[in-house]
Amino acid sequence: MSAKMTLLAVAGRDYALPVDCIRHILAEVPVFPLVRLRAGFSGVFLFEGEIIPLLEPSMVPGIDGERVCAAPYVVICQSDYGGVGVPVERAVRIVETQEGSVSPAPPGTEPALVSQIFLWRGHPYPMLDVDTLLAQLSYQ
Amino acid sequence: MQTMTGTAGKRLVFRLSGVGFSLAIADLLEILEAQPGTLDPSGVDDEHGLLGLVSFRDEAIHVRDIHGLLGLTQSDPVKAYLVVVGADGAWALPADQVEGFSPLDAFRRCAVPPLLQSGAPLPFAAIDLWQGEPLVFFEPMFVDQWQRMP
Repeated sequence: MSAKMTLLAVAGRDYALPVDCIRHILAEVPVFPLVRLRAGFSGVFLFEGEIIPLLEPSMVPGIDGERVCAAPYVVICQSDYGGVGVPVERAVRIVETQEGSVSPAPPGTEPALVSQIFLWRGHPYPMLDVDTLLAQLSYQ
Repeated sequence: MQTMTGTAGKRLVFRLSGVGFSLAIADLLEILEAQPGTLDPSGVDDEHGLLGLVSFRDEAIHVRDIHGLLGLTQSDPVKAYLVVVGADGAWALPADQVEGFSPLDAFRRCAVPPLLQSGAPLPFAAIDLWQGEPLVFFEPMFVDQWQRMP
């Protein structure tokens, strides 16, 4: 488990993401459309000369598509499938994992793709598993 | 009508519904300015994605609904028709905006991110970086082949 955990908000919902899978956090990223993008991606952006796909916020488990609005920040995650951008609503907070606790998500309380909860200061943060999410997208 | 004189070693940048594209000069035959009467609607064929005909070197060639083919919604008026070299001969596509020609060294070729390649086949095989913007590298023959995929 990563020594640090990132706390972030996607479309009004709090999530946790292990710091180990984050490459960078960008603010106000210009996003460029392409054609015939596969479902789950809204465009691409540039980071250090690399073209990185941006995830549709509505593809994050538990997000209601109608609540999605423009995201001022993008978290670049390194996945088994390459870099991917996750749009987040506000500046992230990085905390020590040992200050909280990680436990399995209670059955039926979270979307299928969320298997763990990071509990920090009494607040539960569903843990995003980007690799699992992208694997799920590849079957759509 | 714009001829391709003096454009060797360059690429054309154009836009469709806000999406930027680059096109190799070798694939471009002519740029026809869109004026009233340029498009002859008598050749419309919705089933085959044909918008009509344009005159190119004393021949009538098909104008393809490239927006529809690429899943774009056309909202801007057509500024020009680009006559390109397809797999079965010349065809034309309506462009919303033509930025102009840029030298080859203004472009940096990039691979399509693996994440975007793992779904259905894409109508492009490469991306050009131009002035900090990713452009779809438009290859008419590749698009023709992509369209024929089952």
